[in-house]
Amino acid sequence: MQNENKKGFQVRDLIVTALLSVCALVIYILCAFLSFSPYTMLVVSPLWALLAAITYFLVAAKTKKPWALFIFCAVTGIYGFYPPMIICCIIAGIISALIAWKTGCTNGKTLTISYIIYMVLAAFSGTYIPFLFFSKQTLEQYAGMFGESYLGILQTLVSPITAIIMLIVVGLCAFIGAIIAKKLLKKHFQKAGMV
Amino acid sequence: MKKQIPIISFEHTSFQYEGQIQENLRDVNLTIKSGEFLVITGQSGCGKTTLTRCINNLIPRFFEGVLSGEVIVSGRSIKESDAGEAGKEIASIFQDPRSQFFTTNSSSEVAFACENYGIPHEEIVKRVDRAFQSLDMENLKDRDIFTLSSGERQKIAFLAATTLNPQIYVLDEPSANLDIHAILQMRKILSALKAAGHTIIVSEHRLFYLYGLADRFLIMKEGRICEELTGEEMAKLSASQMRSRRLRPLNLNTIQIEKIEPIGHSEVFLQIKNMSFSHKAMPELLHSISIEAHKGETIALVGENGCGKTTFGKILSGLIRCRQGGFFIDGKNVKQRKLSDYVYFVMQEADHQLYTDSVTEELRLGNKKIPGIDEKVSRILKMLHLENFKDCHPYALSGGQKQRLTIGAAMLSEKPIIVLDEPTSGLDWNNMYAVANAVNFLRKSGKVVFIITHDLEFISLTASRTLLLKEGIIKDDLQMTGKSTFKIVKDFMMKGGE
Amino acid sequence: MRTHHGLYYDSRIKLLLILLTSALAFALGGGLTGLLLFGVVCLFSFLSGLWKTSIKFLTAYIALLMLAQILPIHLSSVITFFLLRILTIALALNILFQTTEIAELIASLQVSHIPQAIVIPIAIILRFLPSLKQDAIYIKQGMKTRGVGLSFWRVLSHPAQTYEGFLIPILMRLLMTATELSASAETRGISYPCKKTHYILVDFRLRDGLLLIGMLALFAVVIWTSFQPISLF
Repeated sequence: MQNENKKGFQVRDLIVTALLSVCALVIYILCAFLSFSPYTMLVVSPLWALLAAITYFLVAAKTKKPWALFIFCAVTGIYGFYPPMIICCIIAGIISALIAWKTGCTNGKTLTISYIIYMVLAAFSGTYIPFLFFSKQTLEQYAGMFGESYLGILQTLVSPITAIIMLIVVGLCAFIGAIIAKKLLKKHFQKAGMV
Repeated sequence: MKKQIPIISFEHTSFQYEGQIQENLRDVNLTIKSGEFLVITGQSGCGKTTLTRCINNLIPRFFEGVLSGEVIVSGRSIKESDAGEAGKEIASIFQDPRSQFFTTNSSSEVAFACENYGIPHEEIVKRVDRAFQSLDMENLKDRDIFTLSSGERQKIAFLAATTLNPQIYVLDEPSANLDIHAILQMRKILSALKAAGHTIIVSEHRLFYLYGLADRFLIMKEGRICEELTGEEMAKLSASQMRSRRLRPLNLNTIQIEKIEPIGHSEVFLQIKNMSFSHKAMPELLHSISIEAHKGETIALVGENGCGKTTFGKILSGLIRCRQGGFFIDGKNVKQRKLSDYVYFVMQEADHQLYTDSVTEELRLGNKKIPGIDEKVSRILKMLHLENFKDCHPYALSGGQKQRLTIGAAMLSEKPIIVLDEPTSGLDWNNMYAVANAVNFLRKSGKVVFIITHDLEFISLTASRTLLLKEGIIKDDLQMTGKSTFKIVKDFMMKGGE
Repeated sequence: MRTHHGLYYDSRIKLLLILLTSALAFALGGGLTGLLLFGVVCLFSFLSGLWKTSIKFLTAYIALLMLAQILPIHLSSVITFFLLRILTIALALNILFQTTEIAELIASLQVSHIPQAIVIPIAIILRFLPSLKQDAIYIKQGMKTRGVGLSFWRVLSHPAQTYEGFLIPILMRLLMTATELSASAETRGISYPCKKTHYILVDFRLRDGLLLIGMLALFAVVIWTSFQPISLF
């Protein structure tokens, strides 16, 4: 893990980053199969945070460039094709790049922190904005359609408290994901001489 | 005399990749003349790929490391240039067309380099059209690359290279994923490029398609050029002289068939009845195929890329379901979803079949319940010359070692039928020979072995029987008893089955 | 290869269509507004010549809408709350993916002065999603033949092993592909410092402008209806 920040922009680093973000996206798509109902949909973001950590850590380990982390976050946001998510992921990318630039791309602890921030922001914008802030209108419609009892169920699902709890859960999963990612990095990628 | 001008020169060049402990090129001196057709060959890891990377200037900027001595390409030192700058005059074609394409459309791919070098739109259109016309491949224009065969993709890679009309072509194992027929078509393109006066450098294991085309052969060993032969001198080497140099044959006619006799099991072990298969909404790929096989047979399956060989193997292994077909093993009817309990499939890309963090673990995976597994693992490691790597990560191994490891896993499995999908693609002679020995061991231990292959030499060393597949049916079923049947197989492979 | 025979228009309009659709699908209410939004997307899908796809989506949409009327509340809310919206977004994505060449998208993004650092990753995702799927299928088959297949029970009983066994080969191949692809792109001048030109010409023509205005007007209508007290269901 030597030669940190040795060189500036290289197309190879960009391609590594892009391919790994494709992989993160595929993991997301697989997780998203769980969004067939509002209940299971709550699991999508935490699960993604848990499983996709390795891609984020590989970007840092393979490229050792802070800007690559920015590209990774921004591009995964763009793949969301959802404006609030794009904005939040770009913000997360800036934070990640700044942290990596200050403390280095091989610092496991600070990478973990930036990964948690990234995941929480992505979950907030990708899952909770559409279902929390914009669901009021829908809920009112439902109230008329299905009666008050059902409204109760839906309201607990999309209430601010649930959202906050879920974001904490996402953060925790991101933390566990980061630990697993670091293990995998050592067990496989460093041993095989790939990073 | 244009031919006398040196266009590439290496002076005491040595190179060591970053993070490696050994030098990959050692004190190489070489002059390549303009218009020359040069072939570099030798064992895996001999430095031939590194040499090509110096010429196309991927070294020293893209692949970093310590470079000493000097390399001058078209009058410029590679230390002062980079791959992008050099790309205007040097076209590079690599082993796997699958991962060297940037776009998904054949025309866009051909135009890619022109776009990057800022050639005006009208000119790009003209050049792309001309490229497809000049090599008579207009049927490949504006196609989705995922629908092309690997031979067609390699042709697109050539077209993409020609649009800048570069002086030099550098090819790194361009034949690795092609069938013999496609390779011979590639030979035609190479011959046209040579006739047009281009300098061509090919790094390659499989030499037969370069017969009569190459002006000079370099044989490398451990980073040095250890022998230099002209095309004529190379052609004069006998089969045993090639073999002592650990080289693949230059002339397919020199391949002698080994006596491979099936191990006298007379009763039919595997029986396939009327197997048909078609992909969704596509014409039928396999029509009602029926075969019988005995224990101790090695059956080679040959046919062009995309003729359904791999699909056949995967159906037999229970990895793909087919619409209809009956499977009988040892007299019992076996349902399709149970086939994977009897048949083991070794994939073409070893990378798809390695899942753990050490060679030993890899062999133990899925086999832990076999009695005396540790002893068997160490015996197989020894047989495949992998014992020095037993704690290595599988992905740290070379291509040939990985391939042997996946075959090792197949040898440990207790399934009676084993299918190997192109086990020797991209392997040098030594590795090919090791794989052949492993396959022969499987046969002698009484398994039914199927090999799907384009490698004539490998067939000559292992197959006791060959099935010729064409247009979804078995055209011929041959016992490999002598020269005459071997010739039928060879002719079939060279003509693409016509 | 272009197999469709619809109206050819600038791919940036398709991108905008996706962004607006995904933003509005969840921002606005369901019911009539949702139906209208789907109608707009469907119109563009027909315009692009995606007859089969459009009809498929349209049938699915109507069938789900009907189903929602007869199913119990819990299930029907899933349909109106999720499936219909996701269907709308999926159709918008389909228009882009089925009718746009990667090269065309790259060209139009480059013309719009989007930096290479964003254009290249977008191109790569379109190029490598199918390859990645292929790799995943092969790895799944490889695991099956090794006796560690991805059966439902195995995934549940050995989740960590399955995750590791599946992801490591994919990532390893990805890293190798990255090196090969970038070597190939480098030798073909991807980082050569000059102004990039294009094989497929993109220019924003009058027709594109009119189409854009039409699309924005339709979206404005959709937004307007969501503030009206009319409710279809």
